[in-house]
Amino acid sequence: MAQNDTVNEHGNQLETFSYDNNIVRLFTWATVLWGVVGFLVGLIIAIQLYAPAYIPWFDFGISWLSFGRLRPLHTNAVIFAFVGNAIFLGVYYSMQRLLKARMWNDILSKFHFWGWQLIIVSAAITFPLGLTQGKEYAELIWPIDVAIAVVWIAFGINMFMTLIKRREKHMYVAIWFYIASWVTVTVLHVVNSLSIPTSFTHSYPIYAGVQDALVQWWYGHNAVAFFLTTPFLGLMYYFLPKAAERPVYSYRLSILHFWSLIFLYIWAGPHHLLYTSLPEWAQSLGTVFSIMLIAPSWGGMINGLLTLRGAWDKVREEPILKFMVVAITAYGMATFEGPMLSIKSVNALSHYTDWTIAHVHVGALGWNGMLTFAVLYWIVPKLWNTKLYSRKLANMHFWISTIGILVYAIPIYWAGVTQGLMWKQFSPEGFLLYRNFLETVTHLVPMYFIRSIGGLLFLTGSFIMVWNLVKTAKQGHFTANETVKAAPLRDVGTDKPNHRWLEGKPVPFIIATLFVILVGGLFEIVPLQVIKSNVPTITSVKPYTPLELIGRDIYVAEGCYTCHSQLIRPFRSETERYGEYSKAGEFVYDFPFQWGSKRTGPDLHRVGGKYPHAWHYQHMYDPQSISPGSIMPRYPWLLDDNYDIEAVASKIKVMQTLNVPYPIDYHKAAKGDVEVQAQEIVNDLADSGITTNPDRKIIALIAYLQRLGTDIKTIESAGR
Amino acid sequence: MFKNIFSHISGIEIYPILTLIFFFTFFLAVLVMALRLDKKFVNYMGNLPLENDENEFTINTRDSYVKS
Repeated sequence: MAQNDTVNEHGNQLETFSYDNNIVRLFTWATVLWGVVGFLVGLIIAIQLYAPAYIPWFDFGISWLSFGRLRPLHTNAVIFAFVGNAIFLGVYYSMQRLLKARMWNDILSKFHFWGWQLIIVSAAITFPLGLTQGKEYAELIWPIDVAIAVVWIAFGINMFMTLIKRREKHMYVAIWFYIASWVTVTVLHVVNSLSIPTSFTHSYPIYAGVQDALVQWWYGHNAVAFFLTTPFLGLMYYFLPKAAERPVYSYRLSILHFWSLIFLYIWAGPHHLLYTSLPEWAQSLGTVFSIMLIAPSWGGMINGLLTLRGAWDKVREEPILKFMVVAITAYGMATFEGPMLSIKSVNALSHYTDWTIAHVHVGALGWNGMLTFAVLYWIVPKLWNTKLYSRKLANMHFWISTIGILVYAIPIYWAGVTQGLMWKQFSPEGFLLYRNFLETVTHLVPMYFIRSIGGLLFLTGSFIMVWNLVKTAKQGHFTANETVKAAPLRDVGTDKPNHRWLEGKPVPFIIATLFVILVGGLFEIVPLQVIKSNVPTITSVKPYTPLELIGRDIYVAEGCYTCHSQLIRPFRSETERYGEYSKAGEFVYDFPFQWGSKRTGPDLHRVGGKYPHAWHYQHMYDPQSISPGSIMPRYPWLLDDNYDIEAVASKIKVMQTLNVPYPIDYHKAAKGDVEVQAQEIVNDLADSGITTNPDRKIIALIAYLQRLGTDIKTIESAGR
Repeated sequence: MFKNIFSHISGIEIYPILTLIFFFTFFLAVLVMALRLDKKFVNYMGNLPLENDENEFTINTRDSYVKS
């Protein structure tokens, strides 16, 4: 409890209280641990990308180690486990000090910590088991989504009550970024996770096709914005002045930076869906706002870099500042590149290629990774009241990871541009020069190999950091509760209702933030919900048969969307390769949409009917035997495992709730229809000399793949 | 394409212009607010992260820039 024991020069009583360093310590080690795990899984899947052709045993033929399941584990581990814990460590450290108050409730702090770690562990278990919702960066199944909401709200309550109980009248810019992050992530998570369960581990989102795509990328883009960017800008505004021992270059610029950034970011989501079936109006809006985003982003970068004005001699000496400079520079590069990639003509080349992967890794390894390392090197000696064990090792880590980022990014940029150009190359006679998709893939394998060396370097650097931090902690002594004194909050007069007033009023500040981020969301999402019944209907598009539905859920569970798109853009190079471009009306029964964001393999939207059943059967068993040099992993378990036929009734029922026009009481008949359709496929396979059972997963998957894109094909052939 | 889809929402064409005007108004308002801030206050806030190492804060609240 606070006790009054001194007065300051204004005659105010001082209260003695303490900062909770224990929670910061917990989040610190969690950041370190999950960082290493996230990088390691990244390295494994980077090797898996070329392994099938060169080290075939590397996928072990085990379902839970396959690329499609591990890739979400990697992205989620890096975003929510590594970066997430880094955010919390920074927030819990800086908020207490900026507000001159202990976190409101220690139990809530602990609940937040252990709840978050439990969520991470359940992600690490469910993803390899193939339990997923199939929406990028929102793959976690619904019970975990609920847990995230609960823990997130606990964090919010703790944060806002600390704001109420603060001793410092005005909130520093870092706190605004924390507030905006919390508010926006809450809105995004709730809206994008709305789904109806069919069982404890499975659900269908309430949106389908185009609507689902817009909501998902409104979420996906802003997860980047409000999880990977704004909280880290808060950390930058606090830890950079700390490390440089000078105030931020311009506090006024930070005001402009903050409001413009949170206003503009929320609109930019549709730039992930250029040239797709999303209405052009929404696409243009995404492009315009993305380009405008350069201004506030660079405003923030300039504010960061100029904070070091007159201190560049320190940068030469101090590894922490070196990490920060690379982080802020990477932020500047990524936030310039992002808007460029949102220009339609650039996007036409870059989208679906490794260019996107290179872009996000400049952000994740450079901005998030390097800034987190800087904060860790700064905070561990502080918490343990000592000096860093070895500056030499920190310098070594800096160089290894910086070189690692370059060795990662350069070949992957190269791979992206190469493949993008190869896809579009026509011969003088007017035929696709690289008709076989595989030709464009085998070209990239050397680049994939070099990229994995970059990843290995980055991982090695992080091991050096772990050693250095552990040794630092061991040589110091930890203070769990840091005692301090400060005068209580007094309201000395009223400010005029300007920005200073706003900085002193947490509740109006939160409301203003919520308003600013909702405007963009409403402008974007509402029109598309209004037109829900108005996506141009294509009469030949019918709901999936129950067996196809089961097959589709297997497609989602195996993470096929991590390598295959289902969206043919309206370019000649794509319609020549894949067939008729994709129409909005074709996706009305797709819960969730599976457009994907990367083509490591070819687009599958019109794969239906392209190959015989036996081709798919053999291809899933051993892709290399059908396509020599292919880097697709094997899926032998699909040939042995059974699908759950009993689950189909509840799936159909949920589909009916979502207005999918199955006949009344169809859930009762669905099982019979599954058996009939499965038997037809089994018979067809038997004609090709393959003996299998109708209840195997492969049968359902073949049913789904053979259906893909055929609704439109039917019209075409009927028209002819 | 967008006209087909949005044809039933009257005046949809005005959306992009409206949003642009909306943003620039907002931007100018923030700019004016930032420029009108008191210099002492700006200095005080900018230095806020740097005070904390002393473990004793005798000049929090607004005393330092209001009364001094």
